[in-house]
Amino acid sequence: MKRSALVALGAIALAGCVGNESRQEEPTNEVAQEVDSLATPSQFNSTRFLEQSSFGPTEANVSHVMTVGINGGSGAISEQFGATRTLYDFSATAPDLGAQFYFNAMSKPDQLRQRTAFALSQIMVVSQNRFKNGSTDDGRVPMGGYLNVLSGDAFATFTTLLHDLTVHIAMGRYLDMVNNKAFAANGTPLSPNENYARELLQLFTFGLDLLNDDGTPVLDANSKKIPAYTQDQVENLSHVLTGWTFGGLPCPTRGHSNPSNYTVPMIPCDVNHDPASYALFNGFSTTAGLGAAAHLDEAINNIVAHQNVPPFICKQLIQHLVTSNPSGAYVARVVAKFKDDGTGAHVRGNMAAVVRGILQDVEARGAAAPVDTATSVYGHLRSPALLMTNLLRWTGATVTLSNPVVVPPPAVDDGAVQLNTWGTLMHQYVPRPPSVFSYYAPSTPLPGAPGFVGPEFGITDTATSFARSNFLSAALLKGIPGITLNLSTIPSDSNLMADWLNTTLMHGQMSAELRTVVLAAVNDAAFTNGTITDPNVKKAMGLYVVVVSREYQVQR
Amino acid sequence: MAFSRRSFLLGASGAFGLAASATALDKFSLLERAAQAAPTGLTGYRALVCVFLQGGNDANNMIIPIGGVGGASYATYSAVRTTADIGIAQADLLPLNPAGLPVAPFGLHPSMPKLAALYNTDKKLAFAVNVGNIRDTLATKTQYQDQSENLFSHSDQQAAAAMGVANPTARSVTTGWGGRAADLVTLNNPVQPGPNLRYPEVTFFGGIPVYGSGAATKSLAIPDNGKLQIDSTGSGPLNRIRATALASMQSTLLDSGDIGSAYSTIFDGGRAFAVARTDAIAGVPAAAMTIINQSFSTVAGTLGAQLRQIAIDMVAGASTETVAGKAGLGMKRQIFAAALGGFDTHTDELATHEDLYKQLDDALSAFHSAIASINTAALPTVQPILETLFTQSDFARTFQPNSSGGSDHGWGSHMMVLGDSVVGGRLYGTFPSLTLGGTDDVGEGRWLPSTSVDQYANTLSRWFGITAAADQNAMFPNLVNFPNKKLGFLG
Repeated sequence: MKRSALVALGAIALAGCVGNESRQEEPTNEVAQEVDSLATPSQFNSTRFLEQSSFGPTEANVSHVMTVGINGGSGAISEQFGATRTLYDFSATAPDLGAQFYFNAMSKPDQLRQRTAFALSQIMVVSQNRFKNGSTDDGRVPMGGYLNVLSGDAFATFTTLLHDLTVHIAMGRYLDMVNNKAFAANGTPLSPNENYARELLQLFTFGLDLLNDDGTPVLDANSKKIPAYTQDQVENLSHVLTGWTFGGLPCPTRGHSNPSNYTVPMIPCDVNHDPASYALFNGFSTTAGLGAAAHLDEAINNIVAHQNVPPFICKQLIQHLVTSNPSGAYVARVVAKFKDDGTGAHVRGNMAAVVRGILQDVEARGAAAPVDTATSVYGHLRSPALLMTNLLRWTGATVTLSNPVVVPPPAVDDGAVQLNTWGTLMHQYVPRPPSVFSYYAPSTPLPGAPGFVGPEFGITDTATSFARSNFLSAALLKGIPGITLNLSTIPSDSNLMADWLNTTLMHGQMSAELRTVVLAAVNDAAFTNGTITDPNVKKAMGLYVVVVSREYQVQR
Repeated sequence: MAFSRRSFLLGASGAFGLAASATALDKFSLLERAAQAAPTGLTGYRALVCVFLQGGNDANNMIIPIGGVGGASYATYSAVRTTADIGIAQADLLPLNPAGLPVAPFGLHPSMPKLAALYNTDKKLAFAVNVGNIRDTLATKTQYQDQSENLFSHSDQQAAAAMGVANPTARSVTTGWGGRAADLVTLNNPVQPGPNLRYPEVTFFGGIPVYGSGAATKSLAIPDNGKLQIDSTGSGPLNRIRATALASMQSTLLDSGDIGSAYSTIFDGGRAFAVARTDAIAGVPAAAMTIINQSFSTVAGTLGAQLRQIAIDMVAGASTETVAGKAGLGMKRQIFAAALGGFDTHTDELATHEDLYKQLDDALSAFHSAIASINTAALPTVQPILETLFTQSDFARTFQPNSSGGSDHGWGSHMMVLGDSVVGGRLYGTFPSLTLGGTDDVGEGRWLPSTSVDQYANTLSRWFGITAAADQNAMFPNLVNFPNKKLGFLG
């Protein structure tokens, strides 16, 4: 039983389900939304939940979420927290990591963990591209290990995540913390490499500007943004981070580095570490005389305690999972979960609590996206990876991947390899973003809507929009070797087909205009005069019209 | 509808927030662009080619002083950079002989022999030195942080360079300077008979996307393989049904302000011009194609591939008719954007520069040669092409090397300008002192720029046709802060 209610976004204390006590009649910032229980979610609410928390709904998964519910100890989120974790295989005969990503997204059970890790991989960025030159190793070992760190820590504390990814050799190599020495061999002080210190602050934890808990910038008396850190603090932090080198051997002598070893974490070597005290943030200075490992712990604790970290991280996770332009109140509610997970231990940075908070929030839930003027831009453009996996999971696709890889390679690539090739044409070559700024920036403006962002538009132009449409056409109308669709549950009758498309892929939101275009396509004479007799081709055309439309390009 | 040209050009708040104007202006080029364009009556064919060096080009190792002109000498350089770290040996430098200066006061990186010849012999290459994102001439060491928003951040400094303004937030600028230039010149270009619209002025192959985005202008981005096309399904009937559906959606589902329409504006905009472009390229004279292919036959790498395709698109744009009798694009003014990445040399700088500078040397010289040869061939269907290629980058890098064979994020950098119109064989601007702790060092050899991005970009867009001071000041809101509006490398 659903009720319509006007829910004021700022007023919801995040609890299990949204009840009458949450109803407010404030005139601003209102969201007309179906009140839809977290314990017994509707079909459309469950579908939307799976679009946000997995690589795409399936008919079976929608039914399952409707049965077990979203919240609570036996709900879908708890189930997903406990699902068997999928690991990347980076042995010598394992397939490409990007192909593994698509294969896992299509077929593995730990969907929420992998979807969260995928989001984290676009915030704490390492690119396999970095390893392609000057080495017999193509980067599979460090990159695969790094992706496993992200999935392993996806529901751990933020402090654990930040520490583990910082000392991982993939990050060490990517942003030059490895072999960053404070001294030359003769003891002369050197200028440390500032790369990791800067990007750790700008991209992984603080962002550029001092933030409020709702994700908006703090403004000074002149209404100007306030920098979150100074160049001096970057340089100080670069000193604090000196001393680390490749593991697998004892520490080298002063001014030297160990040879490359991508199989073990970096090791701290105090002979190459600057032991002095350096001023960091909020009045804290590191303790003089400590070694590289202890100073790293001090720095990470000081950074995680900073006021910017909760809004900076929570808002980006919301943008990846739910919507590009969350209300400040939504961000603030999730930030509260980050600052205190609500347990007796009052854990800061409990990522499981953060992810649960994002997905259970009133601004994420409901049978339909919230509607008001401020949220006319609700949702986010599906990134290339999510566009592909959502279509293929709805259509019951099986995607081939040979593991171990076949020697010699087959004439036609495995389906999972082809997906990564298509993604590359759409400028999302997993796991090889072009730089530490990832595939696209969270601050990318939404074209035509001043004041709103559309992160995925950072890689959306005429070239990539053609690639998106060409992929959809290839997958549905031409066929991609190694990818087999199962359209058996889709009705052949045109009207029933349109109904099915509306209640599944569009979760009830297909416009009358789009339905007209769908029907015109599947009622074309070619499907009735014997030109095209395979009913799957007609179904594929109906699917194509929906997924290529601007309505489906957006996850709402 | 009343709005000032300035707020219109900068695409910021104010009038642009009006629902009606925002809707009309943002429909790619599906609706006629409303630019109150000045100037009109531009003659001949001119093109700007932006090559963005992504990651922050450490130009401190691209041009190195030798002879002591203006204070800096090789001794000044080698006092900070030596061959034991990321220094280049004096004996390896390719001498640059600027007009009016003693022999070889500067040297070019040894991986750039063709560019050295274009500078010394052909005099078609110039350098603008120590250019960067600063907002006025009040820049001093002590208050340098007010000069640009988010100094030393890749993304912000890239955007500032592409927007042509050091402080885009304070100036409410959300568009790129290439896009704003296109807004102004668009009415000089012809309406294409197919879509009955003007072909996009900016063709984008790589770089900073906002560069080609104006208040009305949206750039046409081309895939790496050069082909912007809807793939065949392999079935005639399915192709036909698909085309009908796409056309229906374009006409019935247009609205504005949400994410879906932002997406379809891009997709439908591309579809409006893809066929015109494909046809025009198919009609590029075989003689021109032969010249282009020969010029690039030994050029490897992504920048070479982009510039080869730009040469083809440029000929298609400059063609008034084609060999097949079809109409060419017949453009008067076009802008192209390309990019070369990998300049973020925190480590391995010497080896990285050898590779990247060779790519620049090969690709830029091949491009210049191709267009010059096509002009010499005087093909009857191709207008004479005047093109100016120029570089931009995030920033330069710390002159002080870091501890791992590289350098960190800096500021003022040196830019290259190449083309037949260029008054080459010269350095424009004031070379940095290369003195750590000197008056132009804001820390570790980050040079306070002596020339602003406004002056640099205005010199280029002035040559492109934007000559009225009012238009220039509208395009570059900080230009009023600099007495010298043009640097002279384009006369």
